[in-house]
Amino acid sequence: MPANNAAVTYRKAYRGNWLRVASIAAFFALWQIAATLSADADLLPGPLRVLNSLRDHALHGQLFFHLGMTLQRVAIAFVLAMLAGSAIGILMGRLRWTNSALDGLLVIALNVPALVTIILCYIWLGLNEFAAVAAVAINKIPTVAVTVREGARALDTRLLEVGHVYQISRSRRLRNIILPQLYPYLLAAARSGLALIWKIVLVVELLGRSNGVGFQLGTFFNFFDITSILAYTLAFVLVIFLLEAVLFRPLDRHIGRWRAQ
Amino acid sequence: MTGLSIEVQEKRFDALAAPVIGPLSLSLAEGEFVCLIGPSGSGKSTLLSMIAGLDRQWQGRVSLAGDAPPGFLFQEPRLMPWLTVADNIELVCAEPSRPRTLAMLDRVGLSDAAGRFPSELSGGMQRRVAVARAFINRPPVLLLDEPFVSLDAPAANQLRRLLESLWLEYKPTVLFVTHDLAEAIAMGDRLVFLGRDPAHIIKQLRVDLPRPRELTGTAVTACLQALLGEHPDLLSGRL
Repeated sequence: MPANNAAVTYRKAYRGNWLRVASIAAFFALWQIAATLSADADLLPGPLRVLNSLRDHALHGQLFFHLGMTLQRVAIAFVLAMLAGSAIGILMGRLRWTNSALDGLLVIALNVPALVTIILCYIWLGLNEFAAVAAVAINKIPTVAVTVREGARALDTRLLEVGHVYQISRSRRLRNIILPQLYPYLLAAARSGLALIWKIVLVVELLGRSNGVGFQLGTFFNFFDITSILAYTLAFVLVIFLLEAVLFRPLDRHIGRWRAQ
Repeated sequence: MTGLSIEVQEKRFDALAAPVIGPLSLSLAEGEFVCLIGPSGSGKSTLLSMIAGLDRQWQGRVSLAGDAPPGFLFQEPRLMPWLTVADNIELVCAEPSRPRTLAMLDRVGLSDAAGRFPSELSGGMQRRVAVARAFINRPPVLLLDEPFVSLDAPAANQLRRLLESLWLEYKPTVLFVTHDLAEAIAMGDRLVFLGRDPAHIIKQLRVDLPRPRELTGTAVTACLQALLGEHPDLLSGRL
């Protein structure tokens, strides 16, 4: 029976992978057809031309430098936003008065357009790296807080009572009783957070930095170099796929390993 | 020596509501096994939460011998589903030791389960883990809140035997909350009966039957029938 189940699971996973590859292949095929049909190859370059351009930028251009700068900003802003957002979310989920005090502010923070935060950060903090990273992090903190607050509200009191009765230390309670219940929420916040941060970082770079993918896209836009724009986009997408494969999915599996198969 | 004593002046869930526990005082000798019997809703679980320090909103005082956290068996096993059996037990140890954990698991008949997750165990096995967790620190006081209610009769009986043998080995002071009179007679040195609205002690009884006592044996049954013959409404909280 277990062997049979394993076979079914394997077959399902196999079919899932196959569909994933097929959908991406279909996308590239459609792209190629559209490019062939279009009159102006500069306006809609095909996938092969974009791949060639990607190779040129990687080997002879500054793709890695700019990608590296962007990734660095993403990483710092991501860590800051996750730490601050989780702390606020846990507080608001567990202490009713902090929720009353901060809920209105949270609604405002969620609805201020990203562009406004970015412009104000640059004006008030100066056109520097600190302002750039701060602008990105501030945009992300409220959504992390909202997600983690849901998790903190759903904590199982019966398990928390075990910690109290046995007088388990605060840090061990956090690590072994509270955080494991929050992991699904933290992971959801991290995933959606990364997607949002990517988008905001590029705007921040476009508006006030002299390097990074956003800055490069701005330059290509001025020269109407659509092939390069798509090449940089492609590089970006590859990085995201890589992160999903080597970071989030293994993490998901590791955290969920106690669930019965 | 006193193992556990509690003196309640009053416990209300709400300042405006009627008290759920009235003036009540109960004292257990060191190593004594006391069963607290009352109808459901009579406040016996609340009393246990107050003794364990989970509920601090009441007037009165409680003292536990030994100044160490009590062992506690809840109605459900309450294991952390993301921790293995051994990690669940060591979670309550200030200084965990794997050999000690494995010895305790062996003692409760789960020598092969150390590395498994709770979801891989049967209900009875999960209770055994909870029992091991309750005894691992050799607590001077053990509190039990109807820990065997949702088990089938053979599994519940096995766990009662296990609990009794661990109690005889470590001799903690035990307060066992139940609504099952036969179970109380089979386990307790002394029975304490609660009345309701608000909870108060209506009767106490020493049980001097020799151990081990068979839950359905003649001695327990005779004691039960004599008690119910004298006080037919005892289990509804009336004398």
